[in-house]
Amino acid sequence: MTTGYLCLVLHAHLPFVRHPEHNDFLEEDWFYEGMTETYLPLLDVFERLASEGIDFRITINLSPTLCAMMSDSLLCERYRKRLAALRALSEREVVRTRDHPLLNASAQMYRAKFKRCWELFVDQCHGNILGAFRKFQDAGKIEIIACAATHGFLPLMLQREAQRAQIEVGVGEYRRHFGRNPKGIWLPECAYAPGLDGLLSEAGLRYFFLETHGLITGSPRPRFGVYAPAYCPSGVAAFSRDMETAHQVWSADHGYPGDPQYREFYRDIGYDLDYSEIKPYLHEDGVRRGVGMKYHRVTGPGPLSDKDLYNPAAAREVAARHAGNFMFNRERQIEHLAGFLGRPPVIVAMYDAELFGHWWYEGIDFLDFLFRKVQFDQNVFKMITPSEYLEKYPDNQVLEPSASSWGDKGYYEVWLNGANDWIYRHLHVLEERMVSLARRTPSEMGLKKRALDQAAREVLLAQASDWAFLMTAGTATAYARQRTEEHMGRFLALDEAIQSNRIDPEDLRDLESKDNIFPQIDYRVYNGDHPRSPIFKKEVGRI
Amino acid sequence: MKKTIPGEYGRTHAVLLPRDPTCLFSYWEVQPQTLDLFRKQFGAEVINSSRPVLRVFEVDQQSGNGGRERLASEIAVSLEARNWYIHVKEPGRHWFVELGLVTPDGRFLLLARSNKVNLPLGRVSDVTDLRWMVLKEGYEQLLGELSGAHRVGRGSLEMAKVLSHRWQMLTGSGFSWKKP
Repeated sequence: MTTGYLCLVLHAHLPFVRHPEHNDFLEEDWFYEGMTETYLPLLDVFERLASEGIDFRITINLSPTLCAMMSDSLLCERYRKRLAALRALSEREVVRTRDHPLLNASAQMYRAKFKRCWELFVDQCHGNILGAFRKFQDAGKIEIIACAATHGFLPLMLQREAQRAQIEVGVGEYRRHFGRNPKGIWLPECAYAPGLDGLLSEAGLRYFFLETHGLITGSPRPRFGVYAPAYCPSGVAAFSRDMETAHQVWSADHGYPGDPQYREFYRDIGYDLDYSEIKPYLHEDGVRRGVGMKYHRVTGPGPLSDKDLYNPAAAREVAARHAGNFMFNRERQIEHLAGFLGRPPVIVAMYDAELFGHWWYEGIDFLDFLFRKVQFDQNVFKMITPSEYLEKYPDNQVLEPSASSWGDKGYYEVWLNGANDWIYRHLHVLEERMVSLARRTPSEMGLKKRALDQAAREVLLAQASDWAFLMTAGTATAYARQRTEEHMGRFLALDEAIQSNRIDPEDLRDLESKDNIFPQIDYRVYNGDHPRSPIFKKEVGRI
Repeated sequence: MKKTIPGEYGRTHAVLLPRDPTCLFSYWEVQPQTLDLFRKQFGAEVINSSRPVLRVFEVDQQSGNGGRERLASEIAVSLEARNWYIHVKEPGRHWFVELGLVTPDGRFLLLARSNKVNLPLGRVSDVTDLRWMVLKEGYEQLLGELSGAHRVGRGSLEMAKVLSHRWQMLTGSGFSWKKP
C-alpha cells in the first residue's frame, strides 16, 4: 500500500556559451565540466538502473540552451578532445601515484570515470547525448520537461509577447529534440507571476513548478499545503517545492554535501601538480585552474593545505548512508502527512542538476543508491512524475499562486538589484522593438527574414537570467556583462539594418554562425497572433 | 556587427517593476526636449525652481471602487538618478508611479506615468473558498513549519555564496568558477 509519493525534479541548465571565434574559451568549461561530472554520470546511472530492472522515476528539465550545446557539433568535438586529454592525464596520474595507495585509488577512480564517459559519449551515443535521454523518456523512466528558450526571467518582462516567445521557442525546441510535446515546464528560476499560467496553457503545457510560498501564499489558501498540486485559473497544475528535502541538501551547516568524507571542491591537481606536468592540460593562457581531478576531502573547516586525502570507497559509503537517511526521512514525513491530510501526499524535491556530481561529487552515487533503496528497502512511498500523479489524482484545488521565485528571499531581488538593474531599461527596448518589427513585417522572406530571425535570437540570448544572476553572485561578472551588452548591441544593429533595408549578408552570416542557437526559430513568434502549426494544435487537443 | 548600447533611447517615460511584497523598482528617461517644453509652458526657471518627485499611487482593486487611485507617498528624487527603489508600507496591492516636478507654488507637473504593477501579499491568504474546510487541527503548522515556507530560496545562489565564502576563507581571494 502506497502512503504517498516522492517527485524528484532536476533542473539541468547552463547559459549558451559557445565561442567559435576562439580556439580556447574559459567559460565553455562550464559545459565540459557539466558533461563529465553531471550529465554523462546521470545517464550512466540510468543505464545501470534500467539494465538491472529497477523501476526508477525522475523528472528532468534539460533547458533549451543546454540542449543546444549538447547538440552542437563544435562544442561536442571540443568536448571529445577535452575528454581525451583528461583520459591521458588520468593514465599518467595512475602511474605517477602508483606508490601511494590512497592517491592511486583516486587516480584509478578518475581513470575509470573518464573512460566510462568516453564509452557513453563517443562509443554509445556517437556524440548525441540527447538521444540517450530521449530513450529513457520513451521507456517511461524519466520525464523530460521543457523550459523557456534561454531561461529568461519572465516576470520582469514587460511585453506579454516577449514572455510568450520565451515559452513558445522553448516548447518548439523541446519538440525538435525529443519528438513529442512536453507535458510540463520548468519556469526559469521558478519565477512566477499571476497570469503566466495562461501562456503555459496556450502552449499546451499541463504543469509547472513553484517555490514553496508560491502555493502557500496563493489565494484561496491551499488546502493541502505544498503536498498536492493546485490548478491555476487556466487549468495548468502548479507543483510546489517541499522545503524539508531542499534543506537536507542545501543547508550550509547540515546539508549532505558538507560531509568531511566528501571530495573537496577546491583542492585540484591543476593547482597541486608540478607546473610542467600540468601545463599541457591547462588553458592556453597557462594559468593554473581546476582540471577536474581532486585528491582531497572536505575534512573540516581548515585551510586547503590541511585537507586530508580523499578515499573514494569511504565517500561512497557516506553517500549510501545519506541516501538511506533521505529515504528514512521521507518515509516518516509521508506517514505523518498522510495521516494529517487524509490523502496521499506528494513531496516535490527540486534541485539544480549540476549540484549532483559537479558541486557535490558523490551526489550521483547518492541518487543511484536512493533509487535502489526506494525500490527494495521500503514500501511507504513510490517515486512518481507529475504527469503520472495528475493521471492518478486529477481532482485538485483551484487557486491563484502568488508571485515568487526560488531565489534568495523568494521573490525577484536576485535578478533586480543594484548590481544588475541597469539591464532592464535596455531589455525592455529590445522586447518592444522586436514585437514591433514582427508586427510591421509579418511575412518576410529571404535575407530580411533571416535578419529578423537573428534579431529574435539576440533578444532571447540577452534575456538569459544567468547574466543577471552572475552579476548578483559576483562571479564571472565581466563575462555576464559583456554577453548582455553584446546581444543587446547585436540586436540594435540588426534592428537598424532591417528598418533601413541595409542588411549586409556577410555581417548577418557572421552573427548567424556565432549565435547559432534555435535553427528553426521564426521571428513571427513575437507577433501576437502568430499561428501555431496544425500538428501542434492537434496534439494540444489530445492532451 | 554590433552597436554600443546607448545611454538613452530618446523618449520620456517611466517603468515600474515588482521586486518583492513591499518593494518596487522604477526607472525612467527624461528627454531634454520635454524639459524645454516645460520651460516654454511654465517659464524658464521652472526646472531649476521645482522639486523632482516620484508620486506613488495605490490602485484600489476592490469591487465597487472601480480602480480608484490613492496617493500613497511622494518621494523626492533626482532626475539624473534615473531609477529608484520604492518601499511601500503594506505588502501586496496594485501600484503605479508618476514622475514629475512640484513647483514652488505646489503644482504637480507630470513628466511620465508608469505601467501598473501588482505586488504579492507575502503571507497566507485570508481567502477561503466554498470548498474550503478549516477542520484540520494544526493547519497553520501545515502551511508554516511543515512546508518550510520560512526557508525560501534554498538554491543555487545560496550554494554559490557558500562556495564563494569557503573559497575566500581558504585562499583569501575570489573564486573563478560559478554556475551550476
